[in-house]
Amino acid sequence: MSGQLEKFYYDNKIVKMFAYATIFWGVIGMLVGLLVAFQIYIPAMNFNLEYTTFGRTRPLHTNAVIFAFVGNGIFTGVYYSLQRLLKTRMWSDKLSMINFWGWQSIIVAAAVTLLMGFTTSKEYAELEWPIDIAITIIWVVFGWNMFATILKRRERHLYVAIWFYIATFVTVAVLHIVNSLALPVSFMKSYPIYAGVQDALVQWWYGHNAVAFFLTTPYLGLMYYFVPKAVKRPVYSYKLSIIHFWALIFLYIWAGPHHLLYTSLPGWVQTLGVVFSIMLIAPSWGGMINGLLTMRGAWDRVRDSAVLKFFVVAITAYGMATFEGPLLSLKSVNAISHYTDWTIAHVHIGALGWNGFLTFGMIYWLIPRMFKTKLYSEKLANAHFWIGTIGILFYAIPLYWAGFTQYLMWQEFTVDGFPAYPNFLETVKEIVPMYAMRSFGGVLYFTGTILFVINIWKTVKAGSFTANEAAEAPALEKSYTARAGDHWHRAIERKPIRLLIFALVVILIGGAVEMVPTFLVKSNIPTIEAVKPYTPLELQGRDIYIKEGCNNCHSQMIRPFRHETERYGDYTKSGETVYNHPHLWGSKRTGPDLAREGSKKLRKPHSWHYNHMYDPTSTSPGSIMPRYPWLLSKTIDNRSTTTKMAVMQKLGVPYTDAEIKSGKTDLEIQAEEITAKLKEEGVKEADASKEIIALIAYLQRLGTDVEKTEK
Amino acid sequence: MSEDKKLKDEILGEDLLDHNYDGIMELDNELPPWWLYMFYGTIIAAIMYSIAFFGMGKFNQMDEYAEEIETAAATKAIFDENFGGSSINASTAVLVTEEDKLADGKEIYTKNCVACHAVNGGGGVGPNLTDDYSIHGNSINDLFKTIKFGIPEKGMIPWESQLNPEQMQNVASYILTEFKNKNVEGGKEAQGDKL
Repeated sequence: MSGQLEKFYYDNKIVKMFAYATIFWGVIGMLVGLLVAFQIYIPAMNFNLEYTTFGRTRPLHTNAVIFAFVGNGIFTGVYYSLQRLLKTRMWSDKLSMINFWGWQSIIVAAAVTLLMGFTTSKEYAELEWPIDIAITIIWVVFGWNMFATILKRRERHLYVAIWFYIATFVTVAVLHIVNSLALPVSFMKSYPIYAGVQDALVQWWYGHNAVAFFLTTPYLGLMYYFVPKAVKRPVYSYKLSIIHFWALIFLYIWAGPHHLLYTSLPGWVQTLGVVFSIMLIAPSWGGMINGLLTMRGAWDRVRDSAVLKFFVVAITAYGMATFEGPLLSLKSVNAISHYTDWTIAHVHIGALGWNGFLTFGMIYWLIPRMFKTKLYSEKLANAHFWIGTIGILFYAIPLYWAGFTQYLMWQEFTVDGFPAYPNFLETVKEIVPMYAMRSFGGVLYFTGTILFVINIWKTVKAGSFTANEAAEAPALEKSYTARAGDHWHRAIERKPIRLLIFALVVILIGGAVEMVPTFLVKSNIPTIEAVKPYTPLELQGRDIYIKEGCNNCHSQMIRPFRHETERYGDYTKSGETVYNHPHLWGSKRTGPDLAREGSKKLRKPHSWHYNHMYDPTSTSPGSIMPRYPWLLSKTIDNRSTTTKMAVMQKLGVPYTDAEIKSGKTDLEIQAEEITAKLKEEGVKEADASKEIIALIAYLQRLGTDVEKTEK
Repeated sequence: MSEDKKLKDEILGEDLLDHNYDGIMELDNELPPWWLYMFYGTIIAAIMYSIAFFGMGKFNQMDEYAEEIETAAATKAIFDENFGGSSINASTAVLVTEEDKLADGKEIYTKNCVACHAVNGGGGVGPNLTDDYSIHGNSINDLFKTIKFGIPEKGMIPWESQLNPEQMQNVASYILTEFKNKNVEGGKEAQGDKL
């Protein structure tokens, strides 16, 4: 039945490199996380530098944790388990190395460019086009190496972990490419091909499935390998693996629109987002059950093993987060959670609990094995476990509280029909103590991570590393006859290419059904005659808004609720954002919504904005917004105006050739007008060439187009 | 698989499949019924929700909004009927002198107005309230009107959606009482017409 016994070596070196990278970037990502947790209520912690201000550090934190920490965690686990599950060495050591160094270079490039202000503004996809291309290439290298390894395997059938790896590879490729499509303006600036509603839909189809296929499916794959290995028990149910795998990848892809409930996304797309999210509970919990119930018969071992404790809490956190997710997708619940800190608490149950703890458990298990030694201190690992767990609680509970508190304040009206807290800032000051408690939770979690680093360091020093681990297995015979009585799914597990294609088809359906009509059917986005493209100065101002990451704290999407329309003006219509490449709807309101900042209802004098940007507390005492003094001294890059307008024209924004030609002059004229007004209002030092002027022009434009039709 | 070859898990006695991946085995357990019924339940819920939305026109956010506004208006009407509503408007506003009302006015001023008009009323972004010049009139009625409807083109926002008529009357009275002819030092230069 079996072929000749063959001797070969597993490549542990690449696993070790990725594990070290995981630890290194984990520390960095969490440290930046701590920084932003403090910055949110102590704005002076931006050190008065544009590079370290919240609008840039927050995307750095999310990108570092997702793509650097978890990303390297994925590669660590995949490179270790794939070789062993297939009984072969990786197909090409060279590709493994390109994968490693390519990925680390991308991370460094990401960190540098994000802090410099190069950003697309799209959440978890902030990186500009040259880096996007590099990601595509390295991801293909990873997939190529993985698939070539699969094809030369010595194991007939693919284990469930590998199904998840394959689905991850193909889906992330599709998501990344579709969401990143953009026209370059310059080396580090581009505009996405989508605008407004369509851009928002594509972005959250991507954003939600970055969670699904970067933070979830690969980690489920890792769970399926490392949990049974560590607990030395068989997986609870093979049948459950099959059902929950296919159901999960099919249903997950539809759920993106639940990030856009009550926005101007067409109702039918929102509804699809809701119903598919509801159906996701069971497939997600299938993974949790298969993880937790694999521990049956060995619960006593959990008491003695830090690794298993980490796994148990990770899987439990996964179960909690995937129950909460569908809950948050119900429109009535989402009305509360959207724009508040509830969402932040939710994602950190996933990030700190599921991804963080599974990674810790995996590395605690892996390193002693590869270094042929015992873990330096089980006690220290236990301490890490408890400090980390308490850290998660201290992180999440205050934020749930903050989310509810702020929502309750937003929506409260006095008996005679006025908002009880008309000043947004009042609702922010109320939750500052909860922000402080959250940062304490972060400190605890980070302290645990330091113990982890020490423990791993000591273990490595005590052990001796085996770079090439000898193994043997019989060669795979060419012919194979299926046995009678085998599960039908076995046939798919023997055919990796077929599995890849099936997975691709399954994940394409949801996205296609939601996107194609939204793009092609005109009635989905009714146009508004009065909505016109931005002037050249406003366009530059908008790019400054994007560069400074204003969208991290300010939404531009007023939902149809009385408490929002009373506070911010009429709800936002889809037709109002048709020229917005990219959309800037935002997902969190640390500050107020700005969709109608220039409208009669909210419009402030130019000088208010000028003073506010220089020092927000001068106009809003107690504000937690950081200062932006550099906007007063940095010069508008007027050289780029013509190209920017030309690219926008190519994307369908109706600028005429004449307008593009006179763009630079028009910009200067409008800047002079605003400056004259500023001087009249007492800002004698106002300078028409500075960025602040463009930003004021943009902010004062917001929400004014539709007012013209009202006359 | 023949009966005699059937593998059993040594601890739990459940059926094992003969799968072995790097030592990982898999049990031949059926799907947990509670899990399966939960899955069916969510599918049924999803179908029912879809029927309600697509078939019956339910959960339309514009309808919900219209209803919310209607309810709010009805509640307000009941309130006004029972508590007399406020009859104060730009033409009926009067200069109040009661201490508690002026204190309320001061609190409103501190919270909302100081950013542009300064604590001492000397102005900044907005005009000086302590000199004997005025752009939009300086009677209680003029001031009430300016506060209520704002001067949007100059950056004075309308306050009618944030302050109720009594509050606007109180803050207007506070301004006229507290700052009248104070001509504070360092105030903004005169704008508008001399009174």
